[in-house]
Amino acid sequence: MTGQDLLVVEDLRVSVMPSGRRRADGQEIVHGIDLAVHAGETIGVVGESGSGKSVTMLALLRLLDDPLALTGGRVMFQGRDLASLDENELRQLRGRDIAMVYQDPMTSLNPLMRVGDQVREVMLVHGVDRTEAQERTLELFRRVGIPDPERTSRAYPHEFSGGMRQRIVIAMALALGPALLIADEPTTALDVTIQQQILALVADLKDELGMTTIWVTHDLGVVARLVDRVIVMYGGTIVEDAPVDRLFAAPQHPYTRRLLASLPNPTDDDRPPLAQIPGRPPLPGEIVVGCPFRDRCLEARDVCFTTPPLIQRGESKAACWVPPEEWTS
Amino acid sequence: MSLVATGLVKHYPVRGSDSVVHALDDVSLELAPGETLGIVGESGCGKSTLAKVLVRLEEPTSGTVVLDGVDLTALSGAELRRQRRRIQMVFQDPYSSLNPRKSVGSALEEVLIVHGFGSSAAERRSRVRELLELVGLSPTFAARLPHELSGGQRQRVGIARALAVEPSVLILDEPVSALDVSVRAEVMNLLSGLQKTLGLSFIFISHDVSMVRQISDRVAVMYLGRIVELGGWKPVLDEPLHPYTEGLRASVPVPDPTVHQAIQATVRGEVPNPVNPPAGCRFHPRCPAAVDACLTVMPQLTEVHPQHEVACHVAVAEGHLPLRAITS
Repeated sequence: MTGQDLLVVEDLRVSVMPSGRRRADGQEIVHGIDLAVHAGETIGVVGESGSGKSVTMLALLRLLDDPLALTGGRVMFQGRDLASLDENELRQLRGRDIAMVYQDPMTSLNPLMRVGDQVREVMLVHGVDRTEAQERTLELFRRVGIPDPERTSRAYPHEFSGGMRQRIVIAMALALGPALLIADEPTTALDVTIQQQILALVADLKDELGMTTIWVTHDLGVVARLVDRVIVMYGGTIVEDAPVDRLFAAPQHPYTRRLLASLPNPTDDDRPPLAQIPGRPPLPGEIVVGCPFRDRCLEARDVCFTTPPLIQRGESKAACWVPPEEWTS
Repeated sequence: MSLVATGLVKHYPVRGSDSVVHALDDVSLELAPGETLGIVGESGCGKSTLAKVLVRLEEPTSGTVVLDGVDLTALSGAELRRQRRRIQMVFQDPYSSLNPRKSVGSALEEVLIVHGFGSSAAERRSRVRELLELVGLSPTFAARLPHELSGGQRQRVGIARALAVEPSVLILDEPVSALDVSVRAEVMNLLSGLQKTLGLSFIFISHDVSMVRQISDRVAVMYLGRIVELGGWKPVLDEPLHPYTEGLRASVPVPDPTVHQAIQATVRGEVPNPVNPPAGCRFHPRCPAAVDACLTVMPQLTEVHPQHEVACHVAVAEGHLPLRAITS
């Protein structure tokens, strides 16, 4: 992998803290995330509900709210330890250097403010002068495919469709030319034809601006189409970290393999029953001894009572003691 | 045919004006016993309105729904309730339709009581156990409350409740859309199994082309309140004739990085406002293949190949998917 590490996360831990007793031990829900993101890379973070993928993203931006608390680990962005920044510096960093787009665009939009003003405000807060902010807002609207920016920038969020609102949020995220864009299920609530338009837009922007992107999703189709490298999360840990083609061709973790097998094959005319994964994932906070997938894993053995670290296998890393050549299923 | 819907129209009035939302516009379909008809389309295409009209949760503005020879749209009161039992609906999120303070067992029992099933409490409880087993849940689930269930378990309860009154047709409205990938497989397989053992007919409504492809015998593609393509699952989804079906299909990201997937928008623009749908073909403003006729004349479903109908002037004239829709 070429390029420098833009973001390095080491042993990141998040707990749910019992109310009113800040000193007491909480229930850990993210169990030590290690992750390095290279400049220019597009990363996909996939996992099912409760796997900890969204919480991890909020944690690395220090955006956790009560009762969630960051209980361990280090986040380095452009060589700076985020723990050393005060709230003011963090606010400067978010928006300017790191931007976020969420599933529901209304999370980021003020319903009572004209959309153009909202995009402009992001720039004004970060010291861009008025005339330039105005020009750049219109330019951004054009760039993200919002028709007739002079007129539409004066409209309110409710006057737009879901897809258009997500474009506005993307324009806002891009306003200050961030080095890193974190998008959490940004197209999940949209229709597929609109999703396709947004994916096309983000892919273009990535080429054009060389932006680094972390794309959180449950959709393995989106991952296959868009990203360079995939992080698979399960039970609050990373179970596999692999280049996208390796992940699909030769998954190194039994969970990844079973997850891929449970998808319908879009070119199989026999349409066999879908492969199931019996059992359920651990609930957030549930204490699991050893590998979190152990109880559902057909390859589990005694060693799996000890939590596996991410082990390098070729270009991939997987948190599994049993290498694929020893798998029986 | 077990279910025949003819010329269904549903208009919703727009508050404070004389205009209406054209939610459903002249939709006809047939469902054979034991068959699965998949209905696929995006938001605003009318698929959920169609579901509600079929089970008469909504009154159609016009048109008829005939179930096993009985015209449901002509019935009311007790007779409607009696007949409606045979066509049941399963929703996307059964949680919203379960009373949070009522156990799974008593929710199922209630359905049996309302519809007069089981002559004694003991008989009903044994039927509840049977229903839970049918959907792959152990009898101990009868005592659970909805919040104690996982998403997959809740959907199983939703299916059990629909089956409680022994219907012949299930309308499944996005039944797996809220579920995680691995749970989706379980529920899809459960549905296929139930269809075989109980001889049920399904209308499977979804925005998810891959799930519709997995389960359907025939598929109807809807756009802005109308069926634009109808036929066997393979011709409709793998060799479509309508430019919209092609665009929809090409928009679904394939979970395989070795498949070349051009990241470019295949369908331009957005779904127009159903209060004021475009004249002619409703898809024409977004269609790469539109010709003059598409702007003024509404295309009707026409059989282009045996058992494969399409509502597209260009596809009907050329006998295949308009070339421009593929290349542009």
